[in-house]
Amino acid sequence: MNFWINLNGSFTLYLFKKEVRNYIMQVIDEKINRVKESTDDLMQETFEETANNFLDQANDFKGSLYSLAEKFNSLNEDLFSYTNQEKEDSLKNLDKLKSLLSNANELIARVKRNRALYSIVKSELRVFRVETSQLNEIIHDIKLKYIDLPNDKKLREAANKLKSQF
Amino acid sequence: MIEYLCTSDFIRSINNLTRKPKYQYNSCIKDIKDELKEKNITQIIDSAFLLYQNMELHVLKIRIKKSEQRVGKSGGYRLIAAANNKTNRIAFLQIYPKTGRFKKEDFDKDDELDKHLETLQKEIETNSIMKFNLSDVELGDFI
Repeated sequence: MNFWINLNGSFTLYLFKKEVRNYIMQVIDEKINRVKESTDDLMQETFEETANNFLDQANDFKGSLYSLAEKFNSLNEDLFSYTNQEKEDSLKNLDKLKSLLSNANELIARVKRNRALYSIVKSELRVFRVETSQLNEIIHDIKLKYIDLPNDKKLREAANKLKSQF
Repeated sequence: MIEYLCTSDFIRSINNLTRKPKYQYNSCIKDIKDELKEKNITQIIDSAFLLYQNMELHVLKIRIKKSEQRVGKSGGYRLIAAANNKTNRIAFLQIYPKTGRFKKEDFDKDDELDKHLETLQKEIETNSIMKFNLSDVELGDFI
């Protein structure tokens, strides 16, 4: 009899312990799943949101850069015909144009340093660089036309010699 | 009608640009023709950047659109030419691209414009200058 009570008691305890272990396992298992879910959510959020935010900003920047290139193009076209005729004003504008060019070059350098952004706006940056290069050329031409060439003695001699035959 | 001439310096620069099609400069003669055709000499002088003037002699920097790439005039070619609006003559002195493998940023003092004018004068004097009709000329005439 005692044997049976003991045996029965041990067996009940055994079943109880087993049940508790199963329960704990289930709780842990659910916890693992929840933590994993949270990790996946955050990972998704991190990659998707951060990536989406970055892409949104990069696309905005792309548009701004293209629009800035158009503004430079318009300025260059105006300067091109204006500097052809207006010596005094062209020379007066020289410092302002150099400062504008320096800022534009700084912008290009900053974009190139940001590799992720650079890879997205590469073609717009190329268009922008063509325009800044045109501005650089205009600055250079102003100096050449109004400062360097008029004082070039050899050029004057060559032009005088050519005039009668050409 | 405008009489077009070109110096050996110009021919050298064209040869240099067009020696390999992969450099994408082969359209340059066509692009020059597109820019200058249907313009009289006054229109050509007025639309170009006047680098230097000595009476009727004008030294011009003409911006040429590059048709092989969508870079417009800003990223196209620069044609340095001498024009005389009395004799109706234009001489091509040099050409360089603003983009691509052989791109050149600026035409400057070191490019010795006086030497280009001297070359033109000597080649006219010795009758070794190349004369052409703009509407008929092709790239092959220069290379």
